[in-house]
Order: sequence, then structure tokens, then C-alpha cells
Amino acid sequence: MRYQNNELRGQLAAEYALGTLRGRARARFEKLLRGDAGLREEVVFWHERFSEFARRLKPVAPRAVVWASLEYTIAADAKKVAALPNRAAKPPRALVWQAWAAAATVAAVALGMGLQREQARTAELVAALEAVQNNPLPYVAVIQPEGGDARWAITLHPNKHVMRIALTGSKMPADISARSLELWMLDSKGTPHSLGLLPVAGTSAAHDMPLPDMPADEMGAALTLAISEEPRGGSPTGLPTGRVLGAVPAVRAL
Amino acid sequence: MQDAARLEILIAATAGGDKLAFRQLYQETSSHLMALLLRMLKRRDWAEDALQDSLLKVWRKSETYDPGKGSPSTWLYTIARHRALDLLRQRRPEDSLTMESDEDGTTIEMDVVDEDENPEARAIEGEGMGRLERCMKGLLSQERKSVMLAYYEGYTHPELASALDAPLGTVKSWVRRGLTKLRSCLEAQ
Repeated sequence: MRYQNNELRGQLAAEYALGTLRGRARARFEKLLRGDAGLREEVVFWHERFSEFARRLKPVAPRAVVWASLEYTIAADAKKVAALPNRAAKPPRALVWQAWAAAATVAAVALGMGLQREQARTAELVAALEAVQNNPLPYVAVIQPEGGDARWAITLHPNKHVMRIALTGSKMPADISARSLELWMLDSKGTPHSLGLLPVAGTSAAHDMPLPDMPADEMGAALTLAISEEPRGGSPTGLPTGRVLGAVPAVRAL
Repeated sequence: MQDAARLEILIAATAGGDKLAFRQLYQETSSHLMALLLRMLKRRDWAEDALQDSLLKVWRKSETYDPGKGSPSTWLYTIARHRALDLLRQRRPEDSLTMESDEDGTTIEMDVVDEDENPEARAIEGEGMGRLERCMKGLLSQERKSVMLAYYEGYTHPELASALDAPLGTVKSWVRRGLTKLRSCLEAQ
């Protein structure tokens, strides 16, 4: 076969990547590719270069229905997740704070569909109750990050600017001699707002702590809380800088 | 798209079944992939279908991604482009007429081409200029058109011949010469 000819090999790789190599010639070339690392490199070279044609196009946002449909489909793919061991034990290492927009979805997933519907009804009920009482209900959440047995039960009273945090368990999810654990509220855009440092093992179990102002337009039926690992004393930047240890929904307690 | 290291992490986490990472990957790449798919398929509904198919493939096949074999964004673009090419194959055949195999044993199809299209002009849209684009400028007009039509429209040699109103052999040599020039220009940079 003529495939030993370097010039021809390069030409075929280019036409393969471009897509003009078709039919049986394409099938033959693909068969060759499997056993020829040099040829594969040549194809990679062209894929990389041709992708510049795609890169220079202006991004176009797809409609939300695309993600909704994908999410529905992958939910049915639960088998795949079950088949892969240890996924929870190995979160991606370096997800920086931009990833927090997505951390909010952890909370949404944790809620589950039924509970979300329940929440929609709860929201109406909450609004009705608050109107009567003129006394906003607190948010409650429990966070137990992986890698320890510590659980923080958190109650937020935004109107009173107080949060109560009860800690149980003693094994911390991070090395607290070197690191602090910071509590965040994620707004609907996924932007984190610091609520302060979490009490850790060795301190007394219940804490009333000052609660900073929270964005008033985010005070719906539920919000998302998250914990990150930060340098001692808290994030130096006002945004999370370390590992995300957990994210959960906080709901209005009835 | 975001930097390669970050996309690699998201793809690796997706391979582990991490839906959160997959959602993040979707958020960071979908509008870029959509741009290519819309450019190729012209219709928003088709492009969105193809986007969904492509990302489902990413979800299901993410463990097959090997950083040693190219950048993550190229891998994603390649999946999306292949999906678009498949759809173009399926949706064009009513306009196509199958011809005999050419000398490479390739089965040839020829499409009826929309005369009003000006793919080259549309391909120039967008920002910035990379190495490929600079090298494309070194090609003769017909060579450049051939390469662009093949990339964006998924045209075969016979389709190019029809679109450019030139004999098949001439079009093949435009593609070949265009790619040869690109190769030496890209290597020189």
C-alpha cells in the first residue's frame, strides 16, 4: 500500500481531519490509524489547527432547554455513576471559586424533584405566614462534608443578623491547625458571599454568631450554603480561594 | 473556551460520573460549540439537537479523552463537528446523487448547492487572528474556499466541485495544494 509515503500520509491525515477523505478510503485510513502512532499524531496536529476555525466564531448561547434535556437524560444514566467506585472520595482537585456557580446545583440535586415541588408550595406558605407574623422564618441547613464526621447545623436569622451554629462530631474534613473553614451563601448567580468562619472541634458546641447583611433580593424560600477551606483567619480575597468541602440547600423552617 | 488545564479537570471529573463537573463543563463550553454547530447546520433547532447529542457523548465517553492526544477544547470541537457532519450527511441525501467510486475507492456524493451562499465571507466573521488564519491568507482564493467549505459545510470533493463549478480533479488538487501550503506555513511558525 502507498501509506508508507510520508507526503501521502500527511496528505491523507489532513484530508481525514478536514473530512474530505470519505467512504472506503476513510475506513481504510481509520484502520491504519489504530496501529500507527505517527499517523495519529498527524491527525491530532490537524484537528488542533482546524479547531481554530471554530474558536474564532463568536459564542452563541444555546437555549436553556438543551441543558434541561441533557440533565434529564443523564439522570437516567445513574448506572454509570454507580458503576464507578470512589467518585465521591475524589473530587476534582483544583476547582477554583468560579466553579461555585455550579456548586449551587449540588444543592438543587440534593433537594430532588419532589422536594423542589414541595418547596414551591412551601414558598407560598412562607409568604402567607410571614405576612401574618411580620417575622421572617429562619433558614436551616445541615452540612456534613466528606472526609470527617463533623456536622454543622446552621440556623440563619437574616432579620436579626444572627446565626446559630451547632457542631457535632469531632473529625474535621480539613487540617484545622493550618486552615480555617469558611461559610458562604451562594446567590442565584452562584456568587459566594462570606457569612463568617465556622466553629471547629475543640470549641463549645453551640454558637450564636453575628450574621452579615445578606442580599435582600435573594431571600427566597431556599438559598444555598457552602463551606470552603481557607487560609487561617478566612479568605484573604473575600471570595473562596480553597477547596469546596460541601454545599447544601438551606430552607425556611416552618 | 477556558484554559486547557481546567477543562481537563472538568472532563476527568465528568468521567467519574460527577454531574456537577459536567454541568460546569456545559456552562463553559456550550456557547462555543453552539457557535460552530450553528455555523455548520444553519438552523438553531438542528444546532441545538447536535449540541445535545455531542454533550451526551461527552458525558458518556469522557473517560476516553486522553490529554496526550490533543487539547480538551479540540476534543470537544471535534466531537461536535463530527456530529454536525453526520447530520449534514443525513439531511442532505435527498439533494445528493451517488456517483461511482473515485480512484481512492471513495464513494462519491454530490449535493445541490445553494448559489446564494457565501461561506467564505461568513467564515471571516469572528474575532482575532490565529496561526491558521494567517496561513490561510497564503492560499490561492480557490484553495482557501475549498478548505473552508470542507470544514464548515462538510463538503466532499464532488460537492466542492459542484459548489465551485470546477472539475473534480481540479478541486481535489485545490484541496491538496491548500493543505500542503497550510502544513508548511503552520510548521514554519
